[in-house]
Amino acid sequence: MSGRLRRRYERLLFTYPAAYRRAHGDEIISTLLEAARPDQRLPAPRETASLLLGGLRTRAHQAARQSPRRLWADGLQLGVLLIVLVNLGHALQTPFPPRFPLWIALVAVAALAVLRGWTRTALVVNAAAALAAARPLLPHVGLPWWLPGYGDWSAVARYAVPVAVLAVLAWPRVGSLRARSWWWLVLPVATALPLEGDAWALAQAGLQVGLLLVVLVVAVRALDPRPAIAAAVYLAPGLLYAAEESTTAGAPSTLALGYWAVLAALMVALAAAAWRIRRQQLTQRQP
Amino acid sequence: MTAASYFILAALLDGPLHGYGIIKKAAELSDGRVRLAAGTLYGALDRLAEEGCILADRQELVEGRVRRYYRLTDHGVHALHREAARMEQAARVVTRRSGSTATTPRLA
Repeated sequence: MSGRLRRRYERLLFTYPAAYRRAHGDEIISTLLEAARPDQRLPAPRETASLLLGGLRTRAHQAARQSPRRLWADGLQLGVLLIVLVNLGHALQTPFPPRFPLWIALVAVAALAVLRGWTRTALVVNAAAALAAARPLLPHVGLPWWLPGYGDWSAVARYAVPVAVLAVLAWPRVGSLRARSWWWLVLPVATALPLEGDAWALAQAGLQVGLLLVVLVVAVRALDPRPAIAAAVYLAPGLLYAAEESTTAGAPSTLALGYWAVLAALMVALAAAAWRIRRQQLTQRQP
Repeated sequence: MTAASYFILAALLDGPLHGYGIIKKAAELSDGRVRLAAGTLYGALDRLAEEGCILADRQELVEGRVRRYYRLTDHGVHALHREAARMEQAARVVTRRSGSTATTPRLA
């Protein structure tokens, strides 16, 4: 009976660093089970909130002991990871059997290299993907048979931004990538779900803004600048594209303008939050 | 010092306690005002251990559940008393005044 509650609480510990979970997980779960009612089957809401925030705080606390360079490297990697995983999700959104299996393979390796922390491989493969994505737009270059014909800059920005960030991270003194959890692969699978239509697109846009707000609040409460850095990187391709669009394609719709204005404001807020958090960390460290 | 940290240290004054023991004792000492959730409790215990106020004492296995006991260090006792004195002084700023206003005769 308490087995089910135990498993549910164990799952809620996912926000804690893995090493911390191994050292303290059993003890925390035991305390939660002792505090639970005998017939309780679902985690208590206040315990759930406390565990989620507690895990993020523990991560932030451990992060605060690292160098600012490491924090920036982690935040940038997380941002790039989000972009390449969503790219992979988009590439997978094709009817089966796929028409461009080689392209999907290239995007998959690009994402995998970032996920597993292979810095140089990630840079090379992502550069290849960016070049391939930009190819239809380059003059006097034909489209190879294995490549889908992306005809606009939004796709190119989504492949070019990771290359720019990875180039910075591959610089010897900046800090290399680290291997990340395989659980991140849930993201491209969710993105590739065959759901379409205006309502779904609007829901996605709303979800994105909502998630970014949550990230902002949690990052500030847990004093961790990394989610804010990551979210700012994640928003960069969209903003670049919007800037390019507004200069070449005439007047965009009010809705599109409003959406990008919200994202731009969020990005400024995220950058400000990252900066403030770092300053607070530094003042807290002094006795 | 946060209210959570204060009541965790106060709960350990009578001897080592394990996680749930601390939650119960802190609630009892604070007349139910401090209800520690596990995430908050272990975050505070980590910080207090880092500051040298508490130590992990011993570990027990009861009905398949892990119980780790925590105890106050001398430094922890000292920090708790210092905080109590600070709060007593802060409270006096108000209680002394409200006492005096209560006894001050009103001018007609």
